[in-house]
Amino acid sequence: MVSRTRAAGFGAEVKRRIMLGTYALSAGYHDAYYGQAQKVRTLVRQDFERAFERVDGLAAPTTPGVAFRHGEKADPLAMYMNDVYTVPASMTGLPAVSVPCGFSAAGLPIGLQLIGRTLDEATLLRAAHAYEQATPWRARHPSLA
Amino acid sequence: MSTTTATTYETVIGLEVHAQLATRSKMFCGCATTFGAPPNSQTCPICQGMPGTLPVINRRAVEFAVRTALAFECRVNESCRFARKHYYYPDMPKNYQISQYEEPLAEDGALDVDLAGGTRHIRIQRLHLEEDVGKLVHEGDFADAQSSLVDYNRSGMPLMETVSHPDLRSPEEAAAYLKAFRAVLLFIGVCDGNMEEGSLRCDANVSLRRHGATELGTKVEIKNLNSFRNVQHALEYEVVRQTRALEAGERIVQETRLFDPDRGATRSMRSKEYAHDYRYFPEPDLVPLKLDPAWVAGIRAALPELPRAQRQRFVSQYGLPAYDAGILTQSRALAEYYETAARGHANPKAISNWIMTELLRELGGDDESAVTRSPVSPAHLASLVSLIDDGTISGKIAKDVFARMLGSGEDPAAIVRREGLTQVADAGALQALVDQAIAANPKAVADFKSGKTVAAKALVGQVMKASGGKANPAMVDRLIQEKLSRT
Repeated sequence: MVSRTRAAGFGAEVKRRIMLGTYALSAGYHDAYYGQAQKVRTLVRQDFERAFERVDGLAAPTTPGVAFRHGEKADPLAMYMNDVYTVPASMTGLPAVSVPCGFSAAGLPIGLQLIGRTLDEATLLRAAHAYEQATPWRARHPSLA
Repeated sequence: MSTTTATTYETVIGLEVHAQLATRSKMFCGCATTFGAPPNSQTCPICQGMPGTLPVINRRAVEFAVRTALAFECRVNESCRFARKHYYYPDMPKNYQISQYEEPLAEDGALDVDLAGGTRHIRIQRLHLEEDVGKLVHEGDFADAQSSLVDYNRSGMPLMETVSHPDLRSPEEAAAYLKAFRAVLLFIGVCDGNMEEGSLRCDANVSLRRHGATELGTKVEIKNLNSFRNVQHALEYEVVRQTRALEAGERIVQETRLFDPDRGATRSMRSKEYAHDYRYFPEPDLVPLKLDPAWVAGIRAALPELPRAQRQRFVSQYGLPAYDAGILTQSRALAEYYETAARGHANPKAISNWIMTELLRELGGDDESAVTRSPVSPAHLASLVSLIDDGTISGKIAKDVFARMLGSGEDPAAIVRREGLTQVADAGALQALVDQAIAANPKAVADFKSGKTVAAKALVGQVMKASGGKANPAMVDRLIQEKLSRT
């Protein structure tokens, strides 16, 4: 009953992640994948820390492109790539915020990601607020056709 | 069999002991930990593993684990981490157990175990905290049960696992280690040590290797040994089984085996290829646990005298045999009881005898609850021994007085006074009884005269009986000897 419930109740992406996680943590692969990933994460984090020695925050795109149509990206890898700019802050435990920063030629909104120091949400939110106040984008809405 | 083992193979044993910590609430939630409560009455969404719940570490459990680690001379890590250990069994609702893996609470300790042949220094590898799982209740026998029920009262109870190095060299040593281990836990008050209720459980790893070999042989793990007897019997069986296999040229298969106490044998539970892959990773719901060195130092300063030191002191201070000292220091409550009675007493050995033979039999246990329930106070036991020593009552009468003390909790002196049990040591009063006994037993008298001096014992017995046990036996004996040699 357990396997049937799960087969029916979980979507493809959830199942994929369960399989990936189980595999990465299995004996014999734990060090090669999970252990290695933890080390890489530490390096990424140290990279951010070095950057924060010189600046209070970092600006980056929120996504590689504007919103795509429902079902347009069937390839799971393309879906993962869509998250590529937000994953670093999530993995390293840094606070990040997205604010509107313009529109594409087709009229779709574009996000600006701001990343702050660990537990320094206050500075980050002040910077995001100042940007919103200084630009007109927050007041404009895309047309929902 | 055993001679072969002794000459050809060396037995190598390591123990993993699981102790339920005597905290009032569970490891990661506020549920009560009372044993024997109605099924599932001590549960909440956290220990039922409901999604979205978060664990909170029980400070008292950490304190108890630190106290134990210090008693075993472990290095307490300033920072330790909890990890998820995954396996799939209905008694564990989250499908993972919060345990510790790479960074345990404490490491590198030892326990000195006194054996007949000398002291063994058993190294302790690690000590960590985890949560217990629930309990499955099968309808009928496990093999043909139509349904099983789950009781989550035990789920989330604080559990402390202590892993020894493979330093034990025989089943007897393993049992002795477990006894010494339990005694320490009872002394420092972190576990009730009740093996029947599962508060203390043990898994054993055992392998054989040729004498002189430095590499370890293939080990077999025996699960869930819940008494000293089972630990020793299961290991004895396993040593014989492995010796036979090796002598027959077979290889030992690495596997987990289960001991069946009824059959006195172990049976295979799962082999290496079906071994669990626990897929450990750091518990993301808990930050690393950092221990304040000052807090740890405070726990160290408050440690009581440990059983082994106390045992040695009992031998030197009270002149007790090592055997007596060993029994009296099995629990802190019993040791305290003994010291309260023996301190300043002229006959500490006699007090030890009374505790070991009479009192322990009546108490039905040596743990704190059994000892504190004792109707006979230490002071009353001490005065009972004094009453014998100063000749007020005989040893035989003392047993009757003791039985009354068990019933009423009274002072033995009061019982002796009220019941008129004072020993008759008045030669005049006893002479009449001696004369009667001699007159009534001409055969014993004749036997005595023909050289069978033991016949006098029968006459002493007659007088004791006639006096209702109150006659002073030494004096009766002297009077009879005098009378018989005069006539």
